[in-house]
Amino acid sequence: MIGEETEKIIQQVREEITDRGYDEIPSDFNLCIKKHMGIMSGGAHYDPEECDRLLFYQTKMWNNKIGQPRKTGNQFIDSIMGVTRKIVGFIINPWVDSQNEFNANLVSIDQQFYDQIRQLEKKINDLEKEIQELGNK
Amino acid sequence: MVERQRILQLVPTLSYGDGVGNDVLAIHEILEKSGYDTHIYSENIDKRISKKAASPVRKIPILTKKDIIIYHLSNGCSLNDQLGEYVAKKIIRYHNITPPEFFSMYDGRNAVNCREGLSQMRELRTVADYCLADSEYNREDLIRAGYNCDIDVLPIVIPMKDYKKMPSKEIKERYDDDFVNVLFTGRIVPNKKQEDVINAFFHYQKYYNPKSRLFLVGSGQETIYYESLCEYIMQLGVQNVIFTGHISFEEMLGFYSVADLFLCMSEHEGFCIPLVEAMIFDIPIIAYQGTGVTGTLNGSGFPLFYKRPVETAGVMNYIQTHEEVRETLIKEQRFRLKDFDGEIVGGQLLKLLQKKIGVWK
Repeated sequence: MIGEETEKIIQQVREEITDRGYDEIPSDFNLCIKKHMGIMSGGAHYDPEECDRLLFYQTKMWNNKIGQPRKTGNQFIDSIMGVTRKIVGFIINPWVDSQNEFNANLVSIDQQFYDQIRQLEKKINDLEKEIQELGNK
Repeated sequence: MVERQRILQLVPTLSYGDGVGNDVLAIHEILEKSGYDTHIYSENIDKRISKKAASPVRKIPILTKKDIIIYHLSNGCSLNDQLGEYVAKKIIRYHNITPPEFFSMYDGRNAVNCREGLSQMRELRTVADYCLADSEYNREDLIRAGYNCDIDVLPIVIPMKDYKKMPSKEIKERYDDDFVNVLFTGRIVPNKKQEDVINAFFHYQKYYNPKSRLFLVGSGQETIYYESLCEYIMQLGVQNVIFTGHISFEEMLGFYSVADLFLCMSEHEGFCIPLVEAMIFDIPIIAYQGTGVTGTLNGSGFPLFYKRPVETAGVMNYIQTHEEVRETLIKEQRFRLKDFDGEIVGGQLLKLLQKKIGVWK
């Protein structure tokens, strides 16, 4: 619907809302989310390079795949491994899946914290520079 | 002997009935009907899809530079990293990747997957020979990511004939009454903002029409987001909100056939097929503008530029009580729907492939 017509309708709707005294009833969806969330805490020595390396490793390795063929080069052994994977798959897959879910959540949290730390570091550096410049004046 | 050119479609997961899956199958049908040598390859193939049409990725034949791969990109996966290894012209069919921020509070797996997907999407800019984005928004997304190859917009190919199937009788019998049925279709995921749909509906039910229902059609009921939505419904005290969960196609048609209004408050869509589905069923659309939604509606439907639940409720009531506005909306939606006609989109696809990538039979 074109702009003018919709604007007219919206205007009428607004007038009606004012006339009837309708107000937005406050609600907080964030509260509902918080009810279902956990809080994590802890502390460790912070090494940016180590963080980089581990985060890269985590991002590449969180998703375990039971069906991923690891070939030995021996056709007989490979086919036995393939059959075994299929036989035990229905037992192991749900475990692997929940482990992957858990891994993914951890990786996601780590990435967010890491991004946040990097941003804060930058902010602190900028502020320190500013303070120094002000002190030099 | 001159070797025939092959057109392969490559998709990480080929699901039956979802947007990407339908697009892949429809493109396959168009190419096959036009006499091209074409086949689909995927890592995960839905069992309902014919083995004649799709095979596992490991069965991809040795390719030459003449061959063409149409790669469907919509999430993070290992296949994104492997695409560059194939010797063939590569077309990226971009369906968009949801920004991870939407998931970071609720669903680590999806957040990581989207983050990985976006990073791989940026890397693929050096691999792509040509791109087909399914909306203008997606095209802009590729440009922002640094793609400098040719990019055209081609809508998702929607199998219109499927929507002529009989809707579920049970749904019609249960819900076709004097209640106003408000519908939103889409997975229960944070970017679709079902909480805003619920909030607007709550105000509509409270101020304008207690005899109303809200159908939230879509899968995804084992998540923190879904639990939070249930909590929200309790907090508001809103009645008649129905989460259908995963349902059959006929049941989905049933919900469309009894719906009076389609309300979309989504904040991130690549294309948003449900808008087209609502157009097929002549349901007036009210939609929050932005991302792929604006392009898909292209001036049809009733646009919302702000999220003010009381106002949205007022607009719902206005459309429901003003027949002439309702008719205008439906008329405009019917006009827009013509652009998604399979034959037109199919023709555009063939023309683009011939012109931009030099496809021959």
